[in-house]
Amino acid sequence: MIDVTWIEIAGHTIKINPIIYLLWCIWVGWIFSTVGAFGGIMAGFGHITVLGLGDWASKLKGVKISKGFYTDAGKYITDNIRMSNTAITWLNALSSTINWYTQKRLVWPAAIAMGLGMVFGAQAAVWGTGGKLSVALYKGIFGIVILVVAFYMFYQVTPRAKASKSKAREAAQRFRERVEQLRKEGRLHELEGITNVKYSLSKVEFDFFGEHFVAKNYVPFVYGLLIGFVSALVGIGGGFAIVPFYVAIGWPMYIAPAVSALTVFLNQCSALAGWLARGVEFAFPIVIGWVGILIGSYIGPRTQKYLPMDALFVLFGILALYVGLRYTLAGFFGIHLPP
Amino acid sequence: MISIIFFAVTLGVIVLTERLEGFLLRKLFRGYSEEIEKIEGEIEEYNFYSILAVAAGDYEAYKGFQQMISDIYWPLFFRKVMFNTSFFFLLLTPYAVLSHYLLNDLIHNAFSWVIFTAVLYFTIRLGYSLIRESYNAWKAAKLRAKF
Repeated sequence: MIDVTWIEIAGHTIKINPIIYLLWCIWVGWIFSTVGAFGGIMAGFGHITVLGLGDWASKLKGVKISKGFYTDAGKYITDNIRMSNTAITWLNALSSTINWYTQKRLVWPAAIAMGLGMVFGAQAAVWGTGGKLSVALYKGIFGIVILVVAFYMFYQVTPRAKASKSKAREAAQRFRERVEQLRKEGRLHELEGITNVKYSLSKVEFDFFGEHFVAKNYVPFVYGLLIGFVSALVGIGGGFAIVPFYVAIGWPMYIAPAVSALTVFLNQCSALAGWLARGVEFAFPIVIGWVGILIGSYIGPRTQKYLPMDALFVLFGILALYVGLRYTLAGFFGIHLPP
Repeated sequence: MISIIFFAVTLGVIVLTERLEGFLLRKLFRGYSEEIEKIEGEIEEYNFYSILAVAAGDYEAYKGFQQMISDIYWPLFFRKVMFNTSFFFLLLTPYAVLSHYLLNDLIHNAFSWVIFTAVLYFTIRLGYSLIRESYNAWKAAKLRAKF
């Protein structure tokens, strides 16, 4: 047997197969580097179902322990799953994420507002739900989040989504050619984009090439609160939520690096502090997971060119739909779909 | 006292690990680093064009460039986070595991605390740059308002 110990709890030793875990995490890393946010869901699926930690949480439900704030072994394992999902997919050691943007003056108020919202949201989830979620309820909530992601995947291949993208892209291409022409003729002068910036606690005002803009800081704060809560609740990071958010509200993309870095950093730091303070410990085999993620995210972009993006969206959409249904039915109604 | 020394040493190891990671990325994964730089250059270029598009009042083109940035940025973001992060934490693992076993009687759950300290370090660094930039932006805006 080559099994390794995940954790020891209530007189039981929970063991996992390291090879299966490694292969699964290669798959997770591959997904992350090709289709993005869905990798977090697959990491969760791996911990709950592939490694069988969900079954252990059910089996040890109600078994008394004394570990930090925990008295129920089943609930401890549930929170250990949530923390492990985080550790595999969202521990960020990358502050250099924000190494490009041009209008950073406007980035910070929105980023700080969103970051603060996320810290509060994550803490609300950790302290409000930590030690309270049974594995069945956790599976149900996890399932609903996956169904939302499935919907997002399918939407990406609809004619409507494609039509709006291609029209704008054609305009962008035409504009680019025009700029190149002006550049050759030496008629392109240096431009100053943003002027007359005014800050206050609730909003930022600025002029952008003659037009007046007002950005309200409470919008990113409220959204940050929501992302922070949901991602710490489920333990799958905030990536699945930040991408559609940009598309939905039409935020300029130069804000993305700062806000996406903050999304990960502040949320994870806050959630991790909460889990550690509650007494949840990292399982050492997480290291095997990091090896898998490293391999998967390295080979992902190299193999992606052989697979059309639409096919990936449909494939993962179907997968997300099935996994989401499976967890929702099992968690809320006790109906178990195969496998 | 032991805790303070532990966290101070851990911080030092984290900073060294970060430098080691940068060095190894350049040496072992040169192709990866060059590819990332190339994609970031492309994003910069689209960002520049999108600003020009707004200046020219061409909002359709602006939207197009924003979409093009979005399509490139998010895969890059996930890829960088996953690859660099797992690489960094793997390099930090020997120290985390050693401190867990060697300091078992003195620091409870040292492995988890090492990981947490690393995340906290990067968060504080990012937070500091946010505050510094916000202050600079506020100061520049005040100065501009005067003239």
